[in-house]
Amino acid sequence: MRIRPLSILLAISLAAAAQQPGKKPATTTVTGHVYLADTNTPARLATVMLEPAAALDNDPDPHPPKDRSASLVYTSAVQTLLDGSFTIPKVAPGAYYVVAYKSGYLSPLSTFSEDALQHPTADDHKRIATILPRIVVEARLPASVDVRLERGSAISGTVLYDDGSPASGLPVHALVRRKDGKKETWSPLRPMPFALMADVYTDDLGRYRLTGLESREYLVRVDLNLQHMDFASAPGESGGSSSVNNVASLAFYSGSATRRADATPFKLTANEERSGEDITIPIAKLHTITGEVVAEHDGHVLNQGNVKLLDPDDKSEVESSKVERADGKFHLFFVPEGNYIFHVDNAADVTYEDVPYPPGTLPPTHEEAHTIHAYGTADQPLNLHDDAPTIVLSVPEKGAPSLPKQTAASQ
Amino acid sequence: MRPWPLLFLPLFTLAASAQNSSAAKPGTGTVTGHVYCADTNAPSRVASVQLEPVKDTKRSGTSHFSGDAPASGISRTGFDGSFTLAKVPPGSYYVVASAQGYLSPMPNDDESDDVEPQPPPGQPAVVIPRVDVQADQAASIDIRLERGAAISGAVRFDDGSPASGVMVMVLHRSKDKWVPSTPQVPFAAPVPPATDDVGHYRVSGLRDRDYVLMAILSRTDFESRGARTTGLFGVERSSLRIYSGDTPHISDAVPIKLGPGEERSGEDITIPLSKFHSISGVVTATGDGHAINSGHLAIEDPNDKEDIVDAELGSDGAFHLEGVPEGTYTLRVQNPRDQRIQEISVAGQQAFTNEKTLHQYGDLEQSIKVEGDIPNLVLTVSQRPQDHPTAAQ
Repeated sequence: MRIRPLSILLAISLAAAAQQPGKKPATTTVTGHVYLADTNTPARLATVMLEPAAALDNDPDPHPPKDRSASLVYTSAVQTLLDGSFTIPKVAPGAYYVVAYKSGYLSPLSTFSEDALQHPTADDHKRIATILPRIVVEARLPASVDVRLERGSAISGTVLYDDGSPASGLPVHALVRRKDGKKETWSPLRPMPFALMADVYTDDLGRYRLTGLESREYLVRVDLNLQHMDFASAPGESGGSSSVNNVASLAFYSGSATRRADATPFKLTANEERSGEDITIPIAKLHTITGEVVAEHDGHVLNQGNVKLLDPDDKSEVESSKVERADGKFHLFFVPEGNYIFHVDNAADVTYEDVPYPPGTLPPTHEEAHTIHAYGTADQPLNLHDDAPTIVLSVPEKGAPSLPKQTAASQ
Repeated sequence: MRPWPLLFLPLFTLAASAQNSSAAKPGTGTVTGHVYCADTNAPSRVASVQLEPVKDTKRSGTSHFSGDAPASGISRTGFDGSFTLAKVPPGSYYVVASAQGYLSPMPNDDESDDVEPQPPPGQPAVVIPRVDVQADQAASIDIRLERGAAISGAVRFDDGSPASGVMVMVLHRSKDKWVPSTPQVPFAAPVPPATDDVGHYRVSGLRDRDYVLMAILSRTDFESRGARTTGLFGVERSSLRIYSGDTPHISDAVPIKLGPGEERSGEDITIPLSKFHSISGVVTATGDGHAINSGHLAIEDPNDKEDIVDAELGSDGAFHLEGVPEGTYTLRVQNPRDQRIQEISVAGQQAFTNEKTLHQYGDLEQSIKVEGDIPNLVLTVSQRPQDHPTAAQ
């Protein structure tokens, strides 16, 4: 079974890939127990792994390797036995943080962003050092460490459509506010490695439960992806290929908001069992927009263009579409009521040419677009409160300023 | 094989002019329709719809699922329950709709991937809607999904603590065996589901019949296979199963009878830790006694010939089986072999691994009496005689 690599491991393995495979360094065994702090009972079938400390802090290694090959890290992850004990074989000498995971319990690294773990700041180092047990492993000397897991808080609720029927089978995420570079963003918690706590989905009654959360502010997000999966098989060939085509990707937030900016964050206290965080998906307030991109000087319809719907406040993209090859129109599905800005770019008159692939390839040809005339960009406001079937977006000649225009959905 | 971007699929659309509103492939048809929930009369949203070709067989005259790939992909219904499947080759199809919590004709099938499901005696047949697709025509069909029954409960250890992360499957009787019947819904969450942090599970979309629950406690270690390989490989080091009635023996399982659409809660399973013993040890080769690093171990109940616990050997050659109650069992070592993990680098950077068998040993089968923990069991396997033709003479 091939599993998804943990990002930290990936980084280490890539670094190791530059080295020559040489003689195996002397290794040892790390044993220990994992306990549940709230009940003082063994943590059964918890996952334990060693994260090389060098990857997470800048402290000089107390036992710097003599040759580079000795720094090769054979990281592994094991599950505890029914008495909470674990044995990690073949651990190379060095300093490690001991990370244990168990559903319902705090997983200390989950609140760090990928970026913080790849390039930790001094503050990140300090936080990591205070929350994770650290051990130093020496060659041929068995090491032992015990880990206590603290129970986390939980959020549960039900996701319903606005007619009261359950929204089943949808992924639900807890979002936390954290720094991404200089910007503060709301982003999902880091998933546990090995899909131990893979995405949480609503059940057939629309219920969800998110657990193992630390005390801080959260938003809950439900994702709704409408997809079409196409299968294709070549005549006379076994097997085939499939492609997933996203028709629409929608997100709904705590407080039944359709935009993150309108969502209602809430503070989770330690050991809180917070229920009733219900989300309603307001289908009645989602609309479809259809329209054309035309040239400003003569009003003829352009057959290429990207149309983005932007949030008027922070100019973030809400949804985007392209002028369809088939009908010369753009389509935006399930757009929540409200004010937006249309942004058009890459608008052009184009012709399509059939370009062959090398012989023996399937499909034998593909289409390439050739630009006859490219146009400039345009921004146009939209007040959406109903389905909007006839939007016309004018784009100016390249370099010419766009004339301000008002678009209302009910025109 | 080159992945096909969706846009390139309509090979014949060049002929179609830009004004043509549909990019339909000539000679194919379209199937449209709605999916409704029969219990609420509401549209079934984000349900999956696919077409399965009907194959008439000469021998029985009954219709079969072909087992081929779906004819035209899988579509998800919109908020009004509507779906469109385009570019469908002409022919007869079953329209298979699936939504979480609802009965779907295909997934609950007995082991008959290719036979139309038959209802239990005295029960009305599950009608699978059929549609005939003709070239350049649009066929329309509406589907009503019946709500299925559901089982929920909690899995606990016998000290009262919740057993989280335990897979729970439902089994139904087919001929004289219990077989898995957990519904699979395309695009939906992976099944079987694992218990949550308080040990709770729920399985829905079940037909009315007898079921047995199976809780699987699996302990998997993840090993690195070498310095040049990214990612870790999972090895199941121990796997034990507890059935309805809190027993590790499937022959002692207590079946649960579900009525149509029944909502059954409180079907709890207790894992009897205090009755469990563990068996630890190593598998070695005759002669030099080195540890064997690959192979499968199983503890079988000699009465019903079902495995109680099984495991894979790890790279250290050791095993640690948990969850064996007192009793006499058959211990098997299957496919024991010395294995070397070869790393193969691609372009000097990325690498993958290849398992190379250096020596193959014969399977081992012996009786084992368990009265308490067995901490240091040494099992010895020998070279298979056919690997040494000279020795046989």
